[in-house]
Amino acid sequence: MKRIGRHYGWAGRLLRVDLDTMTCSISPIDAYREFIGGRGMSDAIVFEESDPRTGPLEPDSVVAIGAGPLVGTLAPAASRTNISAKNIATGGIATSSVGGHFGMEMKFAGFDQIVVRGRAPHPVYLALRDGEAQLKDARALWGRNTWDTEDAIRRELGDERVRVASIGPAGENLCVQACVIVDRGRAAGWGAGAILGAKKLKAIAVRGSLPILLADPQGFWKYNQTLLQLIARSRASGMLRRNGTHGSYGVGGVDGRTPQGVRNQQDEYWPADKGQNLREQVYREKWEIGRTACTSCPTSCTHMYHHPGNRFGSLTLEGLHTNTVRALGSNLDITDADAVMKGQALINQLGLNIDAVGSSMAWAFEAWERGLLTKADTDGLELNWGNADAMVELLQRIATRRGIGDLLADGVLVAARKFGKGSEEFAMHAKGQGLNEQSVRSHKGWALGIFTSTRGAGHLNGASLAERIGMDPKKAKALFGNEAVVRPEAYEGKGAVTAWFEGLKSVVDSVGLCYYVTFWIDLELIGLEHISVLMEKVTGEKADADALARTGRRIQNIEKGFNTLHAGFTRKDDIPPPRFFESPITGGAFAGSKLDPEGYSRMLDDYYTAHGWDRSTGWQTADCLDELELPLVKERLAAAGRLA
Amino acid sequence: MGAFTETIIADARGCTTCMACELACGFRWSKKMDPSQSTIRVHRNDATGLVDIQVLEGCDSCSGVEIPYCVVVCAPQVLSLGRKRSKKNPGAL
Repeated sequence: MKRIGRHYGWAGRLLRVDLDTMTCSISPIDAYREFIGGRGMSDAIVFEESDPRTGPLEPDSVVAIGAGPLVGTLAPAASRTNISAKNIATGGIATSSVGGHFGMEMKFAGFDQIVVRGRAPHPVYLALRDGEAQLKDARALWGRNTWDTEDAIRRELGDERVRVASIGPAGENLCVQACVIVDRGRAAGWGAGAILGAKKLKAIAVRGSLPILLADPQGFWKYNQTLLQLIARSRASGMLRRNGTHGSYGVGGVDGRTPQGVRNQQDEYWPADKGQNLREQVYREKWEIGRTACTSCPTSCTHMYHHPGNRFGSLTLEGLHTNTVRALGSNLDITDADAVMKGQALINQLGLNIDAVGSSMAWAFEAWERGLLTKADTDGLELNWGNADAMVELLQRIATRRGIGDLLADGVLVAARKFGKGSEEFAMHAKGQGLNEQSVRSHKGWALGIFTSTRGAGHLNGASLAERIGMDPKKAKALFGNEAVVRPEAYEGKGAVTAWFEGLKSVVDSVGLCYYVTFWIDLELIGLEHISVLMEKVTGEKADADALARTGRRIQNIEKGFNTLHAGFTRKDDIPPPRFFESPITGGAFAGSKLDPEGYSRMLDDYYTAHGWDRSTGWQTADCLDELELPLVKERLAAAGRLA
Repeated sequence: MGAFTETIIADARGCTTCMACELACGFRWSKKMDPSQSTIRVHRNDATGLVDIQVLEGCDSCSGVEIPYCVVVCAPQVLSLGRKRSKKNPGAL
């Protein structure tokens, strides 16, 4: 085992895996500690080591997988593993955070970061244990789904406590929607599954007994109890504990006021009778056998279901989250609870990203509705809205690139461009990344957060829940300087609050916490001040809330710089598809709501201003990058002529 | 009397497998995050979804501490400090 210096919180090791030469090398992580860990550290490495001329599926592309310094320390929900890479759908950055227990075990195996490049001569998997790394033959695993792969690796390593991150057939077949599956039911990657597939890296297995040292053990233990009490008292945490994300924010959710994407987001109103079968309460009463949590999470927002048998057989699985029920339910007009559960199992087994594959399927269903796709294109599969069996079949065709699945596996925007016939008009995407969303028309700041997200679509960066969770206006004003940030239909103040949440999320992903125990869902929960105390007690290093916020902005600016440099995005790429400006929500609490172009444009101006970016291009300025001390980002953007 | 000893009682049905108990127990022994030192073991069977919790030999129910470390961090409250009949003297009353 390679000896490294003493670290508190961090395991201390960065592992580099070169699959061209089939070698592993270990170095200290100290050079990247200014970016904390997890996402920040991964982003810095991927930015530094990626050539804009290199495509994500080429051997020279770089994937970084990291777990932050709080992961594995017992801090609440300090469970997250981040994957950063060049985004196969957008050409910009892909970052994705995943829960489960992989990150904790990776730390106990002795590693904070794994950086992979090259392409193996045959399928391999990476096994990490107690500071050692080994590449192992995975030819026998190629073609197997993620659940079988996890089981097979545990058997081969003779240890049922090994944690596995693996790709399924979707990754092997280079589907744009492919992701990495951790602990059977948790997904990461925004296309990184295909990148690992191109590299012939089937899985990473981690197990270890190297302790994580704490700078102030007793202080940490005591402070952690304080944080657990905060979470126990939080109404928002209680709602998640009872109802999961599905029941709290999803189809038929407890407030009944959350507009959901319907029929490829043509609408965001699904009448109550449609969603009746897909309510969380229905699944809970019929099939829930328990709840599951990621490492040291007191909230346990995930359900464990067992279905004894239906037309798809029996199933035991973790699920469902709100995005799944929308993508496989309302956005395809499907009301069949059995099929949605089967679809959830399939996306995990096949290694598919629900948002990306959901948008591809919804595009295909709409093309069918318009008569553009016919049985001749689909080998007889009828893609009528509500056809649940077609959805189940289509998922398998996409992951294996069979028939129409081959076109759809290129991602919604590329598929639409290849197919033509005006279908690009209804390809729902952000920067090329498939979109599976809710409340885009009604909740203006939420929409801004989705479409300015550096990874393309997705509401887990700047999209503010302040509009949706009954946040106290006075507290919101004290924090964000504007009470309007809690009003869904207002455009005022939303740009600054989006930029603020982007910074918070960058820090949260870098230390390794889950967004669901933070300010994002409740102002009483963990904020930057709490993270500052946690970090000091765990790592011994002092960084106050302002310093952390600045680090969050630095991380955000690395990603923004990557996008401008690699994908050439400008202001127009931060604007939603026309559908959200043109067709209003047809019913429910937000009937008539749609985005207003001028209002959205004002929000975007405010957002760029808050970041110190140029309003007309959306690009970063030299002043902004100087202030944040990011000379490499500035230098590369200037050389490319993309600095405002 | 002396027929009962304090022990950790686990109701695995409500366990979320968050592993906090293992981390807390390892911390109790080592003051580090070191679940390899833990005397409680949690495992979920992926095929059935069911959880098994084992209290291992060496657990002293955090003797001298008011509430055992694993019980303190157990959010779903499936762990508790209880009494069981001592194996050493099972017939005594």
